[in-house]
Amino acid sequence: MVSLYAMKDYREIVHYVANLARIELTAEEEELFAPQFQKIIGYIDTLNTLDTIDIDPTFNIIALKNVLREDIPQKNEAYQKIISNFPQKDGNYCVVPKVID
Amino acid sequence: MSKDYEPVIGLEVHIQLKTMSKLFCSCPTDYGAAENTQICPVCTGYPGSLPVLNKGALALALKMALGLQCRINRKIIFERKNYFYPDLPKNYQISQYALPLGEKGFLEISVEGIKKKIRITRVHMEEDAGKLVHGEKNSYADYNRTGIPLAEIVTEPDIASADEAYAYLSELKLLARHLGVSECDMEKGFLRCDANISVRPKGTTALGTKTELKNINSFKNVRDALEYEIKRQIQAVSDGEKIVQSTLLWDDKSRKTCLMRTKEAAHDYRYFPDPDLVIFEIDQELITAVGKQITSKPQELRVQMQEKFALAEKNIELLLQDPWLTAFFMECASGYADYKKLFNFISGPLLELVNAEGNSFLSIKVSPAHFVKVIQMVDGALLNNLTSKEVLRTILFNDEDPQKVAERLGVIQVSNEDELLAKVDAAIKNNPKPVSDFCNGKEQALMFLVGQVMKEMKGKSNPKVLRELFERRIKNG
Amino acid sequence: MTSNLHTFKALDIAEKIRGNKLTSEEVFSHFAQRSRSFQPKHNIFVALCAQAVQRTQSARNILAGVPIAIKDNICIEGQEITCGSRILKGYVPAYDATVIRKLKENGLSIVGVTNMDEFAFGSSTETSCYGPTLNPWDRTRVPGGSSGGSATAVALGCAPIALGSDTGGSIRQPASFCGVVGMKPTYGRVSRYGLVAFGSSLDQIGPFSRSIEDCAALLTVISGHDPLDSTSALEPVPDFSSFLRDDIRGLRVGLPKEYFMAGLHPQVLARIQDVITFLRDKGAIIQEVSLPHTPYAVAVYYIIGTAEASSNLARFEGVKYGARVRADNLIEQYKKTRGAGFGKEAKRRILLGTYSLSSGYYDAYYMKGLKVRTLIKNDFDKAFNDVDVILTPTAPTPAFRLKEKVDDPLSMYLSDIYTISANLAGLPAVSLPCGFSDEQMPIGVQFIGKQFDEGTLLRVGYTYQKATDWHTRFPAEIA
Repeated sequence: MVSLYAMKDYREIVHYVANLARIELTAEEEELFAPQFQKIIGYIDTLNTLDTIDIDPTFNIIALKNVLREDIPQKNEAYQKIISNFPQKDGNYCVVPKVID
Repeated sequence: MSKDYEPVIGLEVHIQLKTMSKLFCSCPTDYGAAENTQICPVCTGYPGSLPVLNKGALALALKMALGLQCRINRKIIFERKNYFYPDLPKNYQISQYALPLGEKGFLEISVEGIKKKIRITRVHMEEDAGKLVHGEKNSYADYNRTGIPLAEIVTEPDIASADEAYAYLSELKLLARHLGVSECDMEKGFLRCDANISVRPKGTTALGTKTELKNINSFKNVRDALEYEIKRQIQAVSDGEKIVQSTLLWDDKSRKTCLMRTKEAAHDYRYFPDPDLVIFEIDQELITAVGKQITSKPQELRVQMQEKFALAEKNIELLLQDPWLTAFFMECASGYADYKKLFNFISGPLLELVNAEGNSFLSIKVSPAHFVKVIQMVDGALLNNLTSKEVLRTILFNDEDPQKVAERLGVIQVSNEDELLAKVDAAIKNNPKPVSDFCNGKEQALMFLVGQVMKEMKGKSNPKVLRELFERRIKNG
Repeated sequence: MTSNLHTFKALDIAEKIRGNKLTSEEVFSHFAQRSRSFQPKHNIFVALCAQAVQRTQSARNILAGVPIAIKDNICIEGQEITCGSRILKGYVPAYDATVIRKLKENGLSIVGVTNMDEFAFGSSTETSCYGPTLNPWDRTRVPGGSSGGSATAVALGCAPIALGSDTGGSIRQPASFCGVVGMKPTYGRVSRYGLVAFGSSLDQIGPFSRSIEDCAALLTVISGHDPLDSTSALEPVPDFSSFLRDDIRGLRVGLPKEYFMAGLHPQVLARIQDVITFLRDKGAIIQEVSLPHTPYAVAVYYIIGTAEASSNLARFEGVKYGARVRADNLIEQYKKTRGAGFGKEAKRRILLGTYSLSSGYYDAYYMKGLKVRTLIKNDFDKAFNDVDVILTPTAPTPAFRLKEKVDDPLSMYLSDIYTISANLAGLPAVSLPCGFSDEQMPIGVQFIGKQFDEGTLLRVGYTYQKATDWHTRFPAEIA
């Protein structure tokens, strides 16, 4: 099993992450991105100089909590437009190439 | 099966929360709608759409977590579980990870009279994925189910046999149904179960390599699949084979587990807090309010029914199968003290009628008071078994006074001797052969004679009185 | 009388319509005409709209009848939306964004959909699949980004007002590069429902205009709690025009010392100093403040923004809508669709975000980013104990040249240094035109306020615009 964590080569990292993100990259793109990735990550790594052990993470930047909606159903007529947007359809179904696990 | 190994099982159960609308949008949750008609921009992942949490779903999930004795996290967040799959329109599922709703609970089960606590690791909320139908070349996605609220309930690996797993699921279903949290109808996909199974030498504590069993579609199949997989693993280990970490599917036709995939690269779900949602604080006030709604847990009902009504265990279990049935029995029992007879009337005529009509309990309209009155009319010899059922059929889905119905149907039983005497005498006169048979000691013949009068009077004569009259007239004749 | 209509405030145009001196059709056709004539030279719009029948004829809003340009990442029902990306070509939203609904209810009409960096990833509007928008003052330069089309539309008078979105400066920086007013409201002030998400915890929709009065009027229209957006604030919405007073006596203005460091263009610094002098003369109290975690802001921004984007953009895979590159195998179809559909910058950011969320890196990057975000917010909280508003340059330089930074993503990212902190801290901020460089390129000054205190920004802006005319200038029409 390949672990991203163990990778040192940025071309390998870019390739691995692109697979996770389901993006096909050309060889030129991998070539281009690898050094850029290294540079950007190197820059981001400056955060490690900060001690944040006692700092709470910010989940919501404005003070909001418990935003809820009543359990009231409402049929949305947009469903027909959504169906008509399916790039490939069969009746009301959205069609994709067969899923093989 | 080798006696030297024991199975270790953990279950992950998803139950569909009984809400009117979806978890993060207002789409209805009606079962069986035409495909892709209960969808909107939110649950189909339209760009720019945003989720808003359903208050009802939170309350139901909280109720379940409390029912399972969980410790409730006072601050919960929703996270995105990222993976690409065509039944997941956003290609992430909104779920809970770091701060689930409930943790560290338990559920007590009983197998052959032995009680055992199964520890609950966590209870969390998440949205359901859509449904995929697989064709030869293509798969077909229906998003109606996408975004339906689920509670995921994960156990510790405390389950030691297929029977225990079955008992756990049954008890979990009872609890969810009695709390009004979920219907748990497995055929409709309202309850789904995945199992992690490993085996180890008895007396050891280390866990063996596990397999994950997915998509088992009935309670019976859970038991069968687990039994099969346990046997398979023990056989393999006994033969010196290694168990391969893998995901298996239960094949209903061949009654075997089959390989779905072996563990490839570990899933990297890239969980992170969903920035489209806010923090939820579960305060004591909410916990108390929801806790108050928990009035009838199966565990407590069992004790109560045992103590108050002295019913046999299997009769109690039958009444517990459906919360409506339990409540109906209890209400009737407050107006009728012969609990055994009441139970028989419910498990007999009532269930028969409901099953015959193919109706659910929810469509029953008869009030407990009227139901009890039917039994009392039998007690008072105004109805017999036959006519009481007829009256019940009439009022079951259309609550009416059974007295009036019986009168209208003309089925009030005649017990008046004077009224019956003429019929009895006529029957004796018209059936000399059975009369002489009876005189010669054939008890059967008396039944025939009673039957003749019953038939003539369309069932509304009291057979007990008739019998006495026949005996008296023939002997004295 | 209508030939110079584009020099009028939106508010004045609406007043003329109300007073029956002009019809909304005449107004619309004036701006539509200007849009058509500038489009070939500046590539401002991705679509020009026919004037829609106004839904609410009775709308008496002070902006009723005014044309508005909309960035290509805000959903308009029935109008193709692409976010400047090939992957969404052909996609038609099934609903109106909340802000669009509000505009329609208030009788504004959409004149066109404006060009932008692909999915708002960029500071130059060069990453659009439609090609770059060219700066209204100099066609060899960028208009800034990512809302470069909206800023250019207002600068050239193709629309009196426009909407953009701002995740790290995407309204304010192009406003500064194009010489117009651009405001990012407090996070949660304006509903995000219908804004195609980039960084959900950072994104805000906001107004472009020439005058601060128009900015206030448009802000009043689009603000307010939306039950469809869980992150939308419950804060009551004032009539923002009520803050437009020519009085800043006693106003405490903070200058963050970390913002006036190396890298700041001397002519930008000079214009900012002019503004400071002006404010002091008007009775404001100028003082230095410290935002010590400023050097980390860009890094935090790129962790959080790309992580959220990587997840937000996962839905674009050609299954439910948009362009699809067919393949026999589903995973191949995903990869080919996304490989062909996304441009380089989008790919770079999705990959970066995917990386920072990956197991093993989550704590070091994403969680770390959320914690440093707290520190940055704390810096502002502390500074706002001492001052009412913070003044900074909007961008370190005037508009840079086309292609100047396109191959150096990090240097492009660093050009957002002054704007991203307001997004990280959820604060409102506005960029106002405050003069020109020696090369006649506009320069902007930024004011950052406390959460939900857009009012103070408007008051400062009003006071400043009362005494200056930078915001009324038009580029000499370029052949």
